[in-house]
Amino acid sequence: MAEYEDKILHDIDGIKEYDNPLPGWLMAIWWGSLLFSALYIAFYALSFGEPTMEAEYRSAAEKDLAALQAHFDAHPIVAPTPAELLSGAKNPEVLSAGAARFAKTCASCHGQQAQGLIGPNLTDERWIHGGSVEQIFHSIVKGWPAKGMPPWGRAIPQKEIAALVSYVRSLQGTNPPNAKPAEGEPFKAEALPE
Amino acid sequence: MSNTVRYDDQTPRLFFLAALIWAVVGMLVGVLIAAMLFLPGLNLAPFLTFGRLRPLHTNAVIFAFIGNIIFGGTYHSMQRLLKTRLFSDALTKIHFWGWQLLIAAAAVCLVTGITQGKEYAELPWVLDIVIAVLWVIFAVNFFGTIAIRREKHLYVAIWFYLASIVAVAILHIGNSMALPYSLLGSYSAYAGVKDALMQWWYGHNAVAFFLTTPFLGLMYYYLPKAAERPVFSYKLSIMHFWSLVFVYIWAGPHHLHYSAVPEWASTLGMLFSLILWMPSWGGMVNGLLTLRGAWNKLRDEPVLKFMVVAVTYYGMSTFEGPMMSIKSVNAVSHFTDWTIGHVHAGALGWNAFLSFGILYWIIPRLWKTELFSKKLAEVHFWIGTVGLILYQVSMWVAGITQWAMWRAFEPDGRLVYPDFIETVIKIVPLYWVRLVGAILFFAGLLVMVYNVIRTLKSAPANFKEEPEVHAPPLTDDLAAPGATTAPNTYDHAFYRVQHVLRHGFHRYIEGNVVLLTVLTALALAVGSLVEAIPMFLDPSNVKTIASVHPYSPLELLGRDIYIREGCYNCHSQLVRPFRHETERYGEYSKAGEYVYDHPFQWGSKRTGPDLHRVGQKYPSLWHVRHMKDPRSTTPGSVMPRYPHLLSSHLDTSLLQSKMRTMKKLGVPYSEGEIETALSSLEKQSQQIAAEVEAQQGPRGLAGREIIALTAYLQRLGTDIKWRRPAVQTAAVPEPAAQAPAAQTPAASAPAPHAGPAPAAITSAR
Repeated sequence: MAEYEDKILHDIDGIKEYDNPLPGWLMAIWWGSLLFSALYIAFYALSFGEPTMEAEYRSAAEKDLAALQAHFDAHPIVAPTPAELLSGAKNPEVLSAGAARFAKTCASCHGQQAQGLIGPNLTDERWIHGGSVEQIFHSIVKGWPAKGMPPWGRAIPQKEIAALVSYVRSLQGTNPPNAKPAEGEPFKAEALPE
Repeated sequence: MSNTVRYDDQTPRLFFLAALIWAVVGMLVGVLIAAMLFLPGLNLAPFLTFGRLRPLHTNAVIFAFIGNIIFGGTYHSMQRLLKTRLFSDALTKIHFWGWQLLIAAAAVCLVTGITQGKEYAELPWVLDIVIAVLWVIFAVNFFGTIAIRREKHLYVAIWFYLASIVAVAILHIGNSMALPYSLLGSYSAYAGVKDALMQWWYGHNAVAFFLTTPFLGLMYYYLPKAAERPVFSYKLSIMHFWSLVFVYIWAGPHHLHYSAVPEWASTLGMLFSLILWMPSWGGMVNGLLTLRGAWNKLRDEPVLKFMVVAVTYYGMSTFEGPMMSIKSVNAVSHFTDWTIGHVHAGALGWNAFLSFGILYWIIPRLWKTELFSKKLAEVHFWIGTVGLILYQVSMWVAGITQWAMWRAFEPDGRLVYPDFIETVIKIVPLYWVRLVGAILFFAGLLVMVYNVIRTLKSAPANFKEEPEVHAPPLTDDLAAPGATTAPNTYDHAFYRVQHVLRHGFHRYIEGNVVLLTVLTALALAVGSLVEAIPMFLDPSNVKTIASVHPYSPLELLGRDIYIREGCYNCHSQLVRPFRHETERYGEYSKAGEYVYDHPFQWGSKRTGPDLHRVGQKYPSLWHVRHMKDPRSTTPGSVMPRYPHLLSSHLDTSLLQSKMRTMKKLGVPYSEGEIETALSSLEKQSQQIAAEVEAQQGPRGLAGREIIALTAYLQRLGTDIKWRRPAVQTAAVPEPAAQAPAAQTPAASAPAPHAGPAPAAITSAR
């Protein structure tokens, strides 16, 4: 820092002040930030740049959704058949995947043993929205938002939803302790494959 | 008039000791809440929950610890810089004891849930008035001391103190405008977007004019003193003082990027934050270059070590700040722990370290003795520095992790981590690292306290003897040497102007405190007014939405519980217009939705998920169970338990005066609604309690606090109709209700998405 003259200007309570100039690089930051700001405002005010925040969001959403639609047009989700869902209830691999997802996502409302807590008991023979595996699948995917059951179609991978259905079917008649009283219409569960 | 003056050093002694005591309190609470963030069992009682202790932590460290350092340092240095005793011994006493009592009262209010619900401005309106009065006392003492000074020109430290005093007064009064409904309760005079703008105008400039400018003043006095080196550049002092004071005040809206605040405000906030880079670094450069030729002293002088790290951290934070204010960077950092890391880099690195350096330098001098142990000060420095780095780095990593997890999409458009709790559990290890850092920093402070106690014990009996210095009073200072009359010709007047300009016009301002104050106030006013006036006068900034209506009486009381418990410390109420946010939470937030929110509750950090669209998302019973024990509905949750909400009866005694206050603030409650408020509250309370019972929940909750809070939460964000954008992923006909599966043909054939919507699985959720 030899370039500074270090000429003393003032002395106050023993504190001296040098008359050194403003460092050039620091002033470059100053003028640079001012120039950038001027250009930024000019760019946006004259609408060369991006549109408003809302328009930016809308176009991002449109683009995303179009890409997704193209994805699903090419690879539509094939919903499992009742037979597949029912046979899953006998497949230990499927059941453990279903149980894991159930504990993670469903247990907070339906109870750890599906005995019912905030949502209904899933182990008895009465169903508010239908007890067939296909109907259960549908209830999970689309939910019953008015009653507090969120639609899970987008949050849970399709495969895991299928595993969940098989798992729930396998819980029929398990009679867990502290079960919530039955609600809804009676439905005789479909037979599991041999 | 005598030619000598005696300095009042007892006042700075008291302020510095108080600062040290409050530092221990404030940082201890900080360590505790750092642990609470992942060990929810530590929320032992309603008054010991995170939501109430976090404001206690911020208020204690900012206004108690740092505040007392500012007062002590200002009073100590200004006497020496102005060669005079403080203006009034009585005012200094009132100032000291008033401030300590204020802090004690604030602590009681905050833990008992008495709060205005605005960050860093939580204290009830009565205490706000006390703050204002004490601040005026400080100002009178400060300007009074300047008036009786025996040194013509004001040194740069004094400019900074002066700007701080003027700015804090404006900010505090501007943001604290509220209408009381009881002795301790009030509602913010502003609502929603306007409240947000005022709050962050205040919040950001509290950082500027409470944590930065007073400390720059302290730096300009204590750093050259400790280093025994001249200040690097007087020109730089002038340049960065005025640019800082003018530019800082504009930057507030950078806390509100991608919010419902109009974009022009957010753009101004961003650009002025970038422009702020040089003014901030001017202080760092002047500090560090003052040490030219003194770097060797660093080796064995802990005071300088603390000061150098402090100034360096100031430079780092004031570089990080402008970067974080860039909109696209802010999209990453906002609502995450990155912000927490950033503020602590400033608060611990700059404020606390500079305070430590000053205290180690000043305490032996004020007590006329030697520091007990330089070695212990070295120990303090090193464990403090390690703690600081651990704190900062862990929060950086946590912040980036949160952002990356919140926004992660699967190729099929699902969020990779749709459960918010996954993103919380992931950063718990980093919270551990932060806790270790916090404990180290706190341990360093305790080492210092021990060191100080031993130092004080070694003070000689006569340490209170006031120092006396030779300082003749100022002679009448006319505009030119030898001038005894007013100028009587143009030439004469011109000659005097020339005389002023010979030493630089700024030198003239430094000798004229009125002019300096007026110019400072003008510099502060420009940014404030340019941002506030259009916001309040141009209705297009907050487009009203016809379907948005005021909270019902029950919801209003529920909202007060939300504020009382400090929910905003962990939950935001602002969905930003990003795909991942609208996918996770729902439609992004609109300005018109908040018009009845006195105060706004947007929050600034998401330890838990955003709540603006939580209304009707869950059954009411979910909220009841979740409040009683969050782990029962969300395993792994770090939220405190609120079982007392299920047993406490809702206090409705103030309901009507609360509604009348809201009405005065412009919320359109009719006189009839206010008259029948109690019965309509009763009715809604019964309704929700019945709903909870029907869902097999606990019975007899009507009239309990939990029902009011549930009513509020269920109302949030439901005033506008919105649905998630959807794509069709397959055609699966909805099975006829109760039809046996065997009769419904399995639909597995893919169908084009043009098919009828109700028959398809869509992404709507």
